[in-house]
Amino acid sequence: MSELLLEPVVAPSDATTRRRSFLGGRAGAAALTVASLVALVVGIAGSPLPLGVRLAIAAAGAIGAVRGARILASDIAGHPVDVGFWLAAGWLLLLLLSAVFADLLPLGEASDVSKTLLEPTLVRPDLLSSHPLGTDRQGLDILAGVIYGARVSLLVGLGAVAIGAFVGGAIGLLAGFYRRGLDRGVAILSDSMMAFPPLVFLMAMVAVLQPSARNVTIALGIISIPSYIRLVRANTMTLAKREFVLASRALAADDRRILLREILPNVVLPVVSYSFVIVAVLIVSEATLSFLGLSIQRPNPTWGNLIAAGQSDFDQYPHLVFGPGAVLFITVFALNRVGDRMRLWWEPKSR
Amino acid sequence: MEPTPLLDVVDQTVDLVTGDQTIQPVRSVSFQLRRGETFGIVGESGSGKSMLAKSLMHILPDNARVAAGSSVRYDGRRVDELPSREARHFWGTKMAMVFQDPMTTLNPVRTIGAQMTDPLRYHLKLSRSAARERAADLLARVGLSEPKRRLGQHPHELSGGMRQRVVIAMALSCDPELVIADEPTTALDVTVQRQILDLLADLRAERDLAMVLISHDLGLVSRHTDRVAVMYAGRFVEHAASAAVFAGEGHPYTAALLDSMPRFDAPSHTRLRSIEGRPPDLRALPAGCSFAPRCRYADDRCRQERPRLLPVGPGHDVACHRTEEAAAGAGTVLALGRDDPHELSIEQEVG
Amino acid sequence: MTALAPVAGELAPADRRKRTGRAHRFLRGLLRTGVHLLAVMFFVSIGTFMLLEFVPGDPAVAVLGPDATPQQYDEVRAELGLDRPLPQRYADWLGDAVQGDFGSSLRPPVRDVSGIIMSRLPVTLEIAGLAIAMALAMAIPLALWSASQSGGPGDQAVSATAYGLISIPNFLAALILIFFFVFRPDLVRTFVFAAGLLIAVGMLARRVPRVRREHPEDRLRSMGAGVAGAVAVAGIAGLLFLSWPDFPRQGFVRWTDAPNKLDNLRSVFLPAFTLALIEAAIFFRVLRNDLVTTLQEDFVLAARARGMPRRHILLREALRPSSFSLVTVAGVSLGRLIGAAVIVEAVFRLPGLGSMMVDAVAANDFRVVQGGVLAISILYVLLNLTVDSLYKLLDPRIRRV
Repeated sequence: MSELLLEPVVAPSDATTRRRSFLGGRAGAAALTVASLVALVVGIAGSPLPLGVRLAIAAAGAIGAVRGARILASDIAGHPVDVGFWLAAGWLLLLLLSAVFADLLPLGEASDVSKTLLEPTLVRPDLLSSHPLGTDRQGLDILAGVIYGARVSLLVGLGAVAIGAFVGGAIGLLAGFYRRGLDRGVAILSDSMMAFPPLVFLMAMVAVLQPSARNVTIALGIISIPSYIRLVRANTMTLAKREFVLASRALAADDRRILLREILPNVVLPVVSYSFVIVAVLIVSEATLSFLGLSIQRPNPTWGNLIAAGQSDFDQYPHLVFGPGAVLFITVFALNRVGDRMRLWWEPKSR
Repeated sequence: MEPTPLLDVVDQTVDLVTGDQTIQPVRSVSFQLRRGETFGIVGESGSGKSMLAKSLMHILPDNARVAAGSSVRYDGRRVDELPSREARHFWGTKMAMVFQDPMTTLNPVRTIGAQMTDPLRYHLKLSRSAARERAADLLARVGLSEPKRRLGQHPHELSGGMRQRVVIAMALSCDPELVIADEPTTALDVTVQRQILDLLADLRAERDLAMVLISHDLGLVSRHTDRVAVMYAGRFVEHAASAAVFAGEGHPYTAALLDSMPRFDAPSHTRLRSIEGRPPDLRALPAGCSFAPRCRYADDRCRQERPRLLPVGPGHDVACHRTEEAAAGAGTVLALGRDDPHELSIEQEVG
Repeated sequence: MTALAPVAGELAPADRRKRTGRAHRFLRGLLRTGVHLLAVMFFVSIGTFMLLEFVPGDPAVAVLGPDATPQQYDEVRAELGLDRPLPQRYADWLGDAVQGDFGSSLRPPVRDVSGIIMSRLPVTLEIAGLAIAMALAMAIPLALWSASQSGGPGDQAVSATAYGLISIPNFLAALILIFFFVFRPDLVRTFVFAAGLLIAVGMLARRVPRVRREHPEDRLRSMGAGVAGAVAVAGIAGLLFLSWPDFPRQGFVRWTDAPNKLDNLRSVFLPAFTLALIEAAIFFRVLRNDLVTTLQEDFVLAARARGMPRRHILLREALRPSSFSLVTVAGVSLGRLIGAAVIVEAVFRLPGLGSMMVDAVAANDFRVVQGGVLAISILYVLLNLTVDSLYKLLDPRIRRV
């Protein structure tokens, strides 16, 4: 997980591009966007074409659409607009809302096999039908599985991050502020533990605690503690040296007050932006565990176990793997995108 | 008959693309250099002198280009039209450059020997041992003790003066005919500066080198050059023999530069004079003379009509309406007088 | 002519220190890292050992299920040493482990845990080793190319792809690769062939302006070289297209067993490639950014002013300083790689350490899990020590401090 502490590099289409005036100006950009969207739709839905061609067209369409939208939006707004960031944020919002309001949505059946006895099995995805992402071997609707699975992923991810942030953050705050002996020990401990493969730990933990959402959340939370310790400690140390803290001390404020009033508010922002990226990692970890069968089990759907279940048939029915897989990938990508962008905004510039 | 100049620069102009704008850090610069001659270029930072040097050495940054209409001829041939076979071995051999800060212009992770032998093996096709021999000889020539040992050392093991000697040795390694020295002593201690300049003078005499000496220090340049050009906002505003420039009877900017030099014979506590105002923003140059906003002699004509570089004396060109007028004898008395003992004044009797 | 007395007196201060105990400093740094890593192993071993304490109920039942005989339960309890107090159990276990005895597996068939590990280790090592090699082979040239075109369309495309790749979970990447390479190999063949042709055409297109700038005498030679290169690339693409290997969905043919060594390589390629793709993306990002920064340094400018060609600048001047961050990242990636290998082995059903762990966890075989975690942490420690010493050897600036 320690690679997360590398400098965030936002997708290169932003800062490093040599600005070139776009041919055709606004109208050209609009035309590009529309044409690309058409290509994207054709690529996704046009079944008569061979798979390879469709993929290529869809990919070109996606890229062109984002490009065109960015140029168009920047032109209209008068300043550079990061369309990728907004799209990513939009996706996350959509996911969150669907997960929260899943029960109210007109979805197929996600987990109860007895209710799907009359449903067609192994249906291919058809965006306009009642099974937009298709069904599996037992007639369960994939889209419903994905949405309920999103619930699990989000709950586990956010829960684990909460544990990590509060526990790790508290330790980091104290270690960074008070230094002295405690700090060295904490530093060595968290630094050494961070790069050790977390998955191995997780597996060991899961061996002992039976797989349930609660146990997995706790385990993932524990794994993320060293990352937060390191982050908060580094930020606290930098902040503690800055003038406004010294000024507070001069005013004879006690330590606790300084910690709570001066340092904590400034540490919160980097923690929040960092957390997006950590949530992405944790979601991947949970998905991996459930893929291996070591986390939440069927019939409760999670992205991981949906994909695992689809393994046996996905030669003929790729949608079983690629439906949940695409959602997983897009979510992780969106989280990384949003997190990186926020880190650029809020990371203390004292680097 | 005058021999062909070694270097003939005509209307050199550089376009620099930043963001959506294109600015011109170098505009219409022309000069000639004969073998063995030393030419100085003086200007503040931002005057374009470094960009000019880079344009001559073909190492402009990616977003800069020499504009059409410029021409640089070396020994009569245009350097931008050299066929690849010759272009490959031109820069670094015929023309060489000495940079300002030897700490950053030497690769910190490679040995001195490796860096020195690179051009010897690439341009002169010497074998490794022959290249090392020659490198050691060069280091001895520039005054380094234990040259063979130096070859195995890294830049951080040498002092600043020693490093600059290495840089000079590297520039001379392929027997250039022309050396461009861009602020060769600015980053060095005062005591070392003298040594380096003396070294350069010796080497020049020994090898009949032509040299372009670039600096912000008019006094330094005048002492070590045959001819000097003063650069402001990308253009030459004065161009004459060094003694003539140093007399201060040309462009007001030159006079102001001279004026701002601290003098030993001034009474103690004499205030240092600086030039009022700031260097111009190249993105928003004033119409008319670029120096007008800071010039005490500026009148309406100066503010509206850009002065051209015209002769005001034998071999003495100045780009200033007022100086021209004074030289032609028509116009008011131009007194650059002050109350200081080292008064420099032009007084032309009005005819 | 002024006296140019050699500046002998000017011995730089750093020089004097250099003589004294460079080896000492190196060893000291190594020792510090070693202590760090020992701390890791210590905590890891304690952690896994303590886990057993958290098993709800009777561990023996957890292992064997409710239907075993009392004799079997007793055997398990004896193996786990449940009759002895905790500290003694830990000491015994650690003592045995240091001598290479990791105990016996709890589930039938009962085997020596260290034996299981030793038979599985080569598989994992082969995959991980190949993965790193492939990742470096892909990432370094791409990063060099991308950095030299910084900001251009090629750079943007590759950088965006790398950014996307990092977001793909390992098991998903494995499944995607299986889908294409195993189930739709024709698609991949055609794609590789088309890509090869495109690259060849691109190479030729870029050659043309270069050839034009040459002296008329040299043009033929230069064009010839360009054509030769393009034909070579197209030829390789064609060869691949015609004799595309058959990749198996799963299973592993050991190097030692295989009559035809290629079988081993074929069974190992996809798992290693899965790991390599994602590692390569991470290496690429780090190296490219570092190179871009380095290329803006003054010493690169000075080298260009000396007329050194682009290839030299990239390889000799820019790569060395940038490689240090790469080595650091590579070191970190080892930990990640070991974790990723676990997943990949599960997907491809390879008999490595990873699948051993997965099966042991599923079967609640705690001894195997403990042994596995310990073995992996030893591996991790050794690899890190190696990378760290490599790092210290490479950077002359660090060497002397």
